[in-house]
Amino acid sequence: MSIKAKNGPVDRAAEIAVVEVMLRQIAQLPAPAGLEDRLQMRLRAALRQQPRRREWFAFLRQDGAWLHASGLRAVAAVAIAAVVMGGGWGVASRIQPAAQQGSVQPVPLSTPGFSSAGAIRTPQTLNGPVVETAVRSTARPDRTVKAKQRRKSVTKPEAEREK
Amino acid sequence: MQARAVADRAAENAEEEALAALVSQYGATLYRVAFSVLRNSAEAEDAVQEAFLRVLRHREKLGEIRDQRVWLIRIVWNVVLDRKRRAKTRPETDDVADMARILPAAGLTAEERAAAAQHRAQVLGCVEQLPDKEREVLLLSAFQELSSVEIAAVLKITESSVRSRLFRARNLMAGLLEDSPYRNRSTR
Repeated sequence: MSIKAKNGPVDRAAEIAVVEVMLRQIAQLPAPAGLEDRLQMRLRAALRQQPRRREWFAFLRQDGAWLHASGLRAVAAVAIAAVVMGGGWGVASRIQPAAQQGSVQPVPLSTPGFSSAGAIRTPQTLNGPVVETAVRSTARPDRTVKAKQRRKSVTKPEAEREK
Repeated sequence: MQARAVADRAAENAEEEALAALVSQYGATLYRVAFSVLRNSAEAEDAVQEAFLRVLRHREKLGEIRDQRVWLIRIVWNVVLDRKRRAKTRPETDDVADMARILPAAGLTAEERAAAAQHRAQVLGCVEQLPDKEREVLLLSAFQELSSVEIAAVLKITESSVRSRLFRARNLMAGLLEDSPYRNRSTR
């Protein structure tokens, strides 16, 4: 076993102790001279700057006292009226041009797809021969069912008569 | 209206006095905490300044704070870590003059002083190599005025976590020192 391995834990502890002592020395380092004065001075300067910023809003904090000043009230009323009128004018100016462009017809939603736009389809047919007279029937009239019945009705009485 | 202005002025004066008292009471402590991490006098002073400016912004909360010392250390700790994170790309700039004040230089030869400075640099280099959590606990534990409960409060962890992290930090530190070139050279 080597000397280093035998003395390992002792060495380790000693080294860590050295590190901790060093860190403690750094932690105990005294603050540089005049640090407090410099800090106080900068903080006072920062404090002096802050109230100036707050004075801007000081009138808002006085329990609504600013509302009682007639001048401010008038200004507020005018501002509100301007906002309302401006909004209305904005809406009107947007809607009016749309009404003038009434030529655009709305697309009927009930019939989806393309519409015929009122067009009627006329099929292109050939100009064939025009039949002037009615076609005569070639079938013999006595061959029809009615003719047969009529013949029977005519012949039957004759046979009965012969009996 | 005038009464309100007078009351405001009085409140501001009281706040100013409270802040001045905090600066004189804890300014040096905060500086040491900042310096232990940044190891640069000017940067540490700036960090303390920034911490007090943060306090100024939230000065209305001062009355609610139970332990002002721990609260202030936590603020400066956060400021310091922010600065360290931002300056990560920059090389380490240890304040040589401040370090010379720490080292027991009396009775040392020039060669011994150089060797001590080198050793210090090695050790601090090893500390920097530790993981953030372990390093933070190790640095704060060096402040004898801070108990483990207070360290836990600053880091927002439990006391048992502080102890376990400190144990890990010491083990890691020992490993790092064993591997360091300084140790190898001295044991040769």
